[in-house]
Amino acid sequence: MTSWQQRKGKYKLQSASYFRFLRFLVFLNLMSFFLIGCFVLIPNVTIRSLKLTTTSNSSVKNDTECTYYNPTPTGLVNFFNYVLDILSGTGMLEFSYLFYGFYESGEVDLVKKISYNIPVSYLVTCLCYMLFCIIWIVLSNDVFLHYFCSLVFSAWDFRLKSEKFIKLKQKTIRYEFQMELEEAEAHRAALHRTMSDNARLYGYRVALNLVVIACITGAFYCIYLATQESQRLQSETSFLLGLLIEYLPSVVITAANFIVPMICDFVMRFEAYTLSMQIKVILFRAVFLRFASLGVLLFSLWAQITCGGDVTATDCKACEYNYGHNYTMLSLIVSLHVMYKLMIFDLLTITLVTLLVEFPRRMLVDFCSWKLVKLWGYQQFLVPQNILQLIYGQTVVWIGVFFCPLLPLLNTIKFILIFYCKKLTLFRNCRPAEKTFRSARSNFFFRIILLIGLFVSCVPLGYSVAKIQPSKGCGPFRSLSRIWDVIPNSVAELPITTQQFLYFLGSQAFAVPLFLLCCHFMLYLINCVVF
Amino acid sequence: MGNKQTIFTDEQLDAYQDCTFFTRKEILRLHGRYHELAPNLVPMDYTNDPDVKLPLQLIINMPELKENPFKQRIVEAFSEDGQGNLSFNDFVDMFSVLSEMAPRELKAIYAFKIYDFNTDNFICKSDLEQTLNKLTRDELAAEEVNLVCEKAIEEADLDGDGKLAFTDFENMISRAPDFLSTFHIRI
Repeated sequence: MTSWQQRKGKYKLQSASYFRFLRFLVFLNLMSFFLIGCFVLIPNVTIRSLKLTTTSNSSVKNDTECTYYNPTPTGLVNFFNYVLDILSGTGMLEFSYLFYGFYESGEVDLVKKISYNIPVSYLVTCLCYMLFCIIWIVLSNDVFLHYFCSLVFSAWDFRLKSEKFIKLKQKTIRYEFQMELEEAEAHRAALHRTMSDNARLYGYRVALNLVVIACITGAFYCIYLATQESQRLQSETSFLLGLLIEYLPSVVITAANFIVPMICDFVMRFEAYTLSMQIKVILFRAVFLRFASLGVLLFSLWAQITCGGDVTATDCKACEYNYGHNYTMLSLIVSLHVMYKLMIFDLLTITLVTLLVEFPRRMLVDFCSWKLVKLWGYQQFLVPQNILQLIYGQTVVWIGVFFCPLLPLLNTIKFILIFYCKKLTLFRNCRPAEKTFRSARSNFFFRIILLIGLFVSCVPLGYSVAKIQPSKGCGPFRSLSRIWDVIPNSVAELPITTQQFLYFLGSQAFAVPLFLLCCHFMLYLINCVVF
Repeated sequence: MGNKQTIFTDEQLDAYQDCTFFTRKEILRLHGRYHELAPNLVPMDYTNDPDVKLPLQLIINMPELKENPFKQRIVEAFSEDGQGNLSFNDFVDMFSVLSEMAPRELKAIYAFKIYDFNTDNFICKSDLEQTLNKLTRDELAAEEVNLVCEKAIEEADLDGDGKLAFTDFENMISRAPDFLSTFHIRI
């Protein structure tokens, strides 16, 4: 049997969890796209194509400077401008359904007394989408297993026929048992350490953690600088240089996410954690880095747009946000340009790493007969790191979805591309990781991280809905001072009894018991799942 | 529709279709496989319900089972006499339960039988040790095997008698997401 077939056998056993997770995310994005499509996209497309008139209740301040918005380019447009547009989400993509600014505001009268309120539908759909994601992730959770038992009784794959696959499987199972026993042994050893040993070990750990925190802070500062510079230098005319400037924040974030984990891995050797603790610490640091770097990015953008929250600064005075310096739309910058670019860059990174790193490495190892190169070997396929990359991509989409409603659709396509790309590279260019990945426990762990990502991305959404003033020139909320205002305004139009009912739902007498009930339910679920 | 076959009567085929998860075509194909294990023993005409049983040695040489470390236990679990001699009905039953259409409860019942080496309706520590040795090709050290067995019983034993009854086993297997897909043999 060729070595390729041998690797294929071992891979199916190990990397199945990665592809299962990827498939789960593809379905999540597809389902949420249907949700958004039904309630936001299709109504707006129909309204626009039927040219129905919209009536808006509040007066629009027709302040020409603030409401001016014209993204369509005038004059002759070069071909490479189109490519630039696709890569950075400007131009023709900007003035399309991809982006929040294209959507109308106001109500549309349909049949007799029924009218379709576009801003309300947009906001409510977005909130429902987040809720839907939470429920889907929680309910589709694989059950947590008793590890030894499940290994003994359900690890054996009866479908295996060939002697070599069976030997491979037996070896894998043996290794997993040994790892699990080693783990239990390490626990026991940890209990028997002396006082001075412990003190020394904890001293090391504190010092090394400080090193890691310093690295991460350094990375954040770089991201902040990169974002500032990128916004400032955006008027470059040269194609490549302009593209590079626009992608600077993405590049810095990806570089940070690549370098800092390498430092953490190196530091890990001196920290003497047990195997499962090691994986958890590595993942925790990586997760923290990814989510916090997104947070730093958003923060630096917000600082630029709202002039650091200072409404009286000269740039922000007229329209209460920084409307000069190519900032036509608040939402544009926060979402379409940045999140879209992050998403595209993520896809590019994965495909380019496959092409330019893994494939040449395999060529080198195959054809070069030096011992050192042979020892280096093929790229290891590390399942946890790859799954983290997927979670990061999904979080980017969640942050940007409010201002860029078609992002889930693009994300579905992106994940499908990644699926086939990884499948190809797995069998040709990579080898199984040396430390096998315990898929049983970790599936649960990764769903939890996905949920954390969802909650983290709700924070900027909540903040922009509740606090930031929406753009005056475009979008469904252009006439309001806060996006959230659309809800109280439309509730006020409902009949009195419905209004009172809704106020009751929002009041403390109802909300607090409901919250307690939800907590109780969650604890019950966790109990069922863990035991 | 199709070729008029003379191996089974229509009533027999209907009965097989009702009791197993196979279609008529698959049952005929299974008969072909059963026949080629021992062409001299297995008649081509089953309309009279002949009482033919194939011994264990012939069944475990099938390519689907040949390399499986549990092959003997699988065949013994589906045989009526517990010795591994399968009639055609037992043969079809076996592959029906191991097919992908069988429900989890049914698979759990037979999985329990397979892992119960001493057939006392409990999975005790010695059963676990034998299972473990087959899983790891006898390459785990004795104390490692001992430790794993103790921990496995600790995890799944709900009534505290030091061995696993079918309820303990079923409870534990219901939480294993892979069980349905791995307890499967395609024929």
